[in-house]
Parts: sequence; structure tokens; C-alpha cells
Amino acid sequence: MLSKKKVYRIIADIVLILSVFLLPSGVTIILIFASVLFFNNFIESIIFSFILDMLYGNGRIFGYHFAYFFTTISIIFYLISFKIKKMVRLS
Amino acid sequence: MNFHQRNNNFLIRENGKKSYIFYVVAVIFFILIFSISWTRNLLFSVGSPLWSIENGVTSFFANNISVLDSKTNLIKENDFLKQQVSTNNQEQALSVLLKKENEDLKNILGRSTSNQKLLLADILVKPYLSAYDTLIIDVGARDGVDVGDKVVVNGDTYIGYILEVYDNTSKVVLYSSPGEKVNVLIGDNNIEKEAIGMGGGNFQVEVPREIGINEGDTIVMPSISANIFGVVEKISYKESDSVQNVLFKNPINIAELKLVEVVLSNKK
Repeated sequence: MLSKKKVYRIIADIVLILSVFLLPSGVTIILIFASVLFFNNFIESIIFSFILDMLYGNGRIFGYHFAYFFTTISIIFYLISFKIKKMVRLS
Repeated sequence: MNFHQRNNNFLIRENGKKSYIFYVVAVIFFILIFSISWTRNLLFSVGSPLWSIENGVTSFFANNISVLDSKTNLIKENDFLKQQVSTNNQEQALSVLLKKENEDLKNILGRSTSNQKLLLADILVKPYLSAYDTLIIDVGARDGVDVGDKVVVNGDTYIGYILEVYDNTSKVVLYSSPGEKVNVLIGDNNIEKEAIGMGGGNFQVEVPREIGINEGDTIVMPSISANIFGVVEKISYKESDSVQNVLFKNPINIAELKLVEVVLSNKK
């Protein structure tokens, strides 16, 4: 039997994958960040951001050739989320 | 803390470490797998029906929202639109005449442009969904689309080019994407300059102040066929500068766009 937190996590994963395809990228990235703060070790966030880059990316950001903008900021946010969680004790 | 408790804590820490390493390896594996072209194709195949359904639902609500509007407003809007249609019809008649004359003159000189092959495409994803100023359209390699093919609206307004091609879909980069560079012809003397995209259909170009350019002037792309690339919105300069900063906008509102045409370079 799955615990309540795991069920929430699966629901969050489904919502996020649908939002990658159906909602504006800005909204999706906010949902991803919120999930990173809410769940423990939410490493899926990097995969969702990577899919965003794959689907909509044009290989360039602010004039520079760089294809993984959302993936990079997700990795950074994932790493600093441990510090944030320690500071605010969210989980 | 006794030995059993300490041992238990150690085991939990070790298990946590192992699952953490498993997650990291899984993510790296996923990223590597989706860096391959055919798996990306799979991603677009999954997205394509979802985007079609979303567009269907959105256009259903957009088309039926006017039912809730008041009768007076609808009558006013109807009158205004009728007036606009009549003006547009007159302008279109003149435009058709001039296009035909232009085509006839090019034919006389042996430079026909009417054999340009255009492929109509439905837009699945617009920039409001994609933060990168890209479009996803419903034609791909199976329809003869190739990387680098130009994308136009109404046959004469260039908006972007094909960046990636999949089986049934393609990704279009708009010329107005931030940092995107494109050559344009400016002013009465058709001076060629490099314009830089600023996002949202806006561009910026620096030209010498001697070039006579006014707000509302049209900017074109270097091409044998007549086209409109942008309309000058704002010109700014400092008295001490020798160049002026010209801001121009693509005449097409991407947010309202439903269809585009791909100029096929690969004519099989």
C-alpha cells in the first residue's frame, strides 16, 4: 500500500507532465519549483525541465548558444532547495 | 544510544545514499536517452494530439464567448467590422492588381516567383506556451519539410525558419526570438542591415542617422518576391551619436495566428 505522501507525489508527477504539454512554460517552472520544496528529493524536476527544453527550446538563450536553460536552473534550484528546506523547515 | 540503534541509523543512511545515487543515475540516463533524435520524435508524437485537443477546446471557447456579449455591443461591433471589411476589400483589390503586375514584369524578365511551393501548416504551440519564442507546427519530414525552410504568413510576411523536423511536426524559430539575427533592407535606398530579435515580434536595428527613415515605414527581407518583414515603431538617437536606434515590429500578431505556410526548399 502506498503512503499518502507517495500518492501525492504521483499526482504531482502526472500534473507536471500534463502542464509541460498544456500550460505556459513559466507556469510549469513555478509548479516544478513548488514541488521541489514540497516533496523530499524531487529529482524528477530536472527531467520535467529537460522535457521543456527539448520541446520548446531553440538552442539559444539571451543571444548565446545554450539549449538547456530550464534544466540548468532546475538543477541549481534542486541543489539549493536542501538549504532552503533546512532554513524554513518545510519538510 | 546502544549498538542496535546506531547500527539501524547507519543502515537507513546507507539505504538513503543508495536510492539517491539510483535517482541521479536514472535522471542522467533519461537525459542521455532523450538527447537522441528518435526519442525526441516520440516526445513530439505524444505532444501532438494533446496540443490539437487543447487548440480545439481553446478555439471552441474563443468562438462561443461572444454569445454572452450584449446585443448592443454585438451590433456596434458588427457595424465596425462591416466598415472595415469594405475598406479592406478595396485595398485587397488594389493589392491583387499590383501583385499581378509585379509578377507579369518578373515573368517578362525571366524571374518568376509563382513556382514557389508553399505548404500550409496548423500551429500546435504558440509562444505563450513556449517561453523560447518558438512555434510547433503540424507538418514534418513526411510532408517534405526540411531544416532551414522559411516560414511565412499570408504568403508574403516572413516570421521564422524551421529549426528541427520530426515525422509529423516541426519546430519553428521566430526571427524575433531574443538574440536571433536576420538581414533586412531598410529605407528608400534598401540598405542591408542586421536586425536583432527582441522577443514578441519586436526587432532592433542600428542604422546611420543619414538614412532617412520614419515611423510607419516598411522593412523588407532580401528576396526576389515582394514581402513585408516589419513596420517601424520607434526611432531614437542621442544628439552626440552617429547612429539611430530603430525599433520595428512584425505586422503579424503571433498570438492570433492559426495557420502558417512553409516555403519548401526540398521540391520532390
